[in-house]
Amino acid sequence: MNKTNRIKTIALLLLCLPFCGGWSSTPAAAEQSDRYVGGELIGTYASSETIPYVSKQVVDDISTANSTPKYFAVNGMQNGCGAVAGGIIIGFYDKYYANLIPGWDSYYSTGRYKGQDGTYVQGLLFDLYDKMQTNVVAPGVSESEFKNGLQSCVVDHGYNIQYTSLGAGNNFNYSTFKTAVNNNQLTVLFVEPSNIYSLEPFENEDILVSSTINGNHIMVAYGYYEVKYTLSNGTRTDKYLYVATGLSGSSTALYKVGSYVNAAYKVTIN
Amino acid sequence: MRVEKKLNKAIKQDGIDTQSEILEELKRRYPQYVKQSDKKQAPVKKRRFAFISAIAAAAVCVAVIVPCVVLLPRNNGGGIGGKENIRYCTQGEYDKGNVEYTIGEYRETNNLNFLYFDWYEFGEDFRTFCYTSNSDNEVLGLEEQTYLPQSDEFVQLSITKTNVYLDVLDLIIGKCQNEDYVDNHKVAWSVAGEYATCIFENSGYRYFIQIEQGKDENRLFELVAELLDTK
Repeated sequence: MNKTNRIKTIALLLLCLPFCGGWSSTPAAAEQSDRYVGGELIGTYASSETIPYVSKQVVDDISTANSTPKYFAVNGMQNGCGAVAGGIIIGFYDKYYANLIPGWDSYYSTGRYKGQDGTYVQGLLFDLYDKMQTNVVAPGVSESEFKNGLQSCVVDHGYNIQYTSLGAGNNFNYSTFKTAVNNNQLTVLFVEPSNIYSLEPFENEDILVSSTINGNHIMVAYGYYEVKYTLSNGTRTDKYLYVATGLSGSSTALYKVGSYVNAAYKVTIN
Repeated sequence: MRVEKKLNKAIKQDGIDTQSEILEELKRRYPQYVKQSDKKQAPVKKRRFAFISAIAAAAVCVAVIVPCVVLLPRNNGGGIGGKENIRYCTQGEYDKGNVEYTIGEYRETNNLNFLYFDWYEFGEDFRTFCYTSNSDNEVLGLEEQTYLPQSDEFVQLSITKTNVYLDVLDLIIGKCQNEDYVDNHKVAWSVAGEYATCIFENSGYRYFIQIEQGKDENRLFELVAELLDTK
């Protein structure tokens, strides 16, 4: 490389540097890829698929009792998807294990889960946010920070927690997940930017509308929905997980079985 | 650049090593490019001047245009009691937080005329949230969640002005693909998954109603009619 080329290269690199966003420290950058920061929903309903059918049979439509609480991040919880997912799990199990949220019940007498309380739930979410060390090493949380932070919170309130792997990558163990739901247990999903869905029923057709979560995200799966269509030219079976997204405005959604997951754990508290 | 890559690939494939061989091979295979390159070769000083000019122009762009883009006011007003310009807000631009007042109290305090559910006598667990712009703290929308013990219903009402679009509420707009009319107001609705949901507009405000585990659109229409009655 001659002198002119060297100058050119250096100048170009200097010009590009501000646009690279590469100012973070080396350890943080190294962990960036497997950290979960939540994300925004983009391309909402930009793509939808119409499924015209001759007949439709809902094979399975099962979820945990009263599904889950629908919590979301509030002011001051940047990249807080880990804390919100942890809060949903604790709010869910509070019904069965008293005082997981001290001084407050997360449910009404009918079993329906309450909304996001400004004192107790918000306090819980911020406690988890701190215990998970959100944004300390780098933006968001890592898988281990999430698990350790949630465990610490559960242990503090006198209970134990176990995480049982349900696979990773494209090898999500759907049948074990179904058993967990049937046993009223939640599963936490660690996902990369991915699509969530809503299935809108119309006469003789369903419209499958999708949104993209644009960051690595942590969600809570609490049910499964399986539908078999008889089409004019064959059949089609769609399988989904019900997920609590932790996103305000779209608190629940469908997640396609077979979508890539970085990790999935059944969560047991006792 | 593409031609260079092509050449490099060709050279590697042919196992040519030395610089002179490469030059000869280039001339043989791509005479038009070599010739053109020779003709247009500017003196070093001129090239350096052109290069420095380009760098200077780029620096001016970075120094002038970028700050302008960042600093130009993008807030067009249009909050819950604000001006009428269209304002589209994504999640990075606003926060959603609990507030101590009810929607009814906010309406009264600010002398506004939006509709709301006057259920404070018999509902439970009212939770009010406020969507606030990060840039100027303007109120972009309000939301109230209520539990109705008589019917074991969890109802959420969100309100924005019709010129304000919050991306999280846009989800609901995309979802509601059925239409009906209640008291001459067009109501877009959806009953799918865990929610019965509808949207309608009235006197410059847009209303979003969600019933958790709602399974019946007629209940949505009842709630719309009840809201319209509070005029």
